[in-house]
Amino acid sequence: MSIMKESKKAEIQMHLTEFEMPPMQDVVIVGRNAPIGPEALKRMVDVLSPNQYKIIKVDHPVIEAIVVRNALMNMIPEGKLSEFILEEGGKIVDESTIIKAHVNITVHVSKSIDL
Amino acid sequence: MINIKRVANIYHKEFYAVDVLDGVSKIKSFFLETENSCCPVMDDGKLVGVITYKDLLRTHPNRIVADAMRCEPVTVPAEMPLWQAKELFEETGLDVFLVEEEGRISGILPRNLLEIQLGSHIDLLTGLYKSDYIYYHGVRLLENEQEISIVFFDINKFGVIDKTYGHTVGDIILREVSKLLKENTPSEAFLCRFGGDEFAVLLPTHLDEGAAALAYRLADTISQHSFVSGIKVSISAGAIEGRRHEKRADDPWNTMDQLINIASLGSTEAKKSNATLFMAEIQAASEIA
Repeated sequence: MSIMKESKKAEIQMHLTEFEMPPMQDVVIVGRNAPIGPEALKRMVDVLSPNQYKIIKVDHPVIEAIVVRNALMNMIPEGKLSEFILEEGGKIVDESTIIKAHVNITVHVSKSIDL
Repeated sequence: MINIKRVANIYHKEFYAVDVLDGVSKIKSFFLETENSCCPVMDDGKLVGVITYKDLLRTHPNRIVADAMRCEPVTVPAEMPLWQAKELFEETGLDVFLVEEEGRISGILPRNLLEIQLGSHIDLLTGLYKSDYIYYHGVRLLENEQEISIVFFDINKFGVIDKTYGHTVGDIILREVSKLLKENTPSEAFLCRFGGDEFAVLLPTHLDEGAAALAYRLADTISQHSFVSGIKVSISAGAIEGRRHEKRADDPWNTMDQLINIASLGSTEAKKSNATLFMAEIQAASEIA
């Protein structure tokens, strides 16, 4: 009669990264059938970062809304910015996805003055 | 006088409300358990929308009610006639209205409940609306100070057809006549089966085709149609056309009663004199209130 020896081992791995505050960047694009809707996002953002983001509901076949950091709209008018986001975001978003986007805006100003 | 059913007669006075932060899955289960199909949505004690089972079905189950509900719910007064509520449902495309009585929200009116109720106002044999349909629209037009005409039809010798060929054939003829009337009545006019072999059309008088022209055209269509067993079918019509220059008195229901009565007597008169149409005239300003 032979005796089988059994042993159980567990391996634990932990990855630590800093929690992003807020857990979104400049823009979030919400698909029409995404698991989190724009209202839920707004409420989450309003709790974590009050008055920093705006929800723009859009008329688009796939995208339901975009959540945009207010500071961006101080640099570019809301209409122009959302048009750009929809144009580019619309190419990669499907109805069920939520995409976060990092948007860098550089404003070039050139002025000539009389000396 | 005919009794028009109103929202107050049918709406749900007992209803549940859900919270705007509730999950869609939770509310779906709640609807299944309670056999509800819609309810108002509250946010911190304030009404912010309504949600229906249809809204839940088209929304991701992980979402919250705020992302599935319809904002800006439509509130209707309890005294609104059912026909008007039906028009409003068609206009707005919504599935539920909130109902207001004595200055407060007192219940909900789901669209399917209204449709079930209005089903009893549809004649099962012909699929046409019953008489209260034209009463409602007639009163509505009169209250808006619009002139109306009524054309009343009945099938000539329908009793003889019934006795000669049997009631089953009689029913087929009624269905065919109804179909012809429906297909040939202008979309802005209102057609109903008044009872038995009698039909009525309510016309707003601004239409291009007047009551007499419509009566002759419909009579012509029916007489030229090939009915079952080669039976010859014709109709007689009585019509009254509104052309008033003074403001009507207060009771439009009474006016409708009288206009329909005059048109109905007109169709009997046409039948007696072997004519297609008898055009009734208002004899004196006081004749019709």
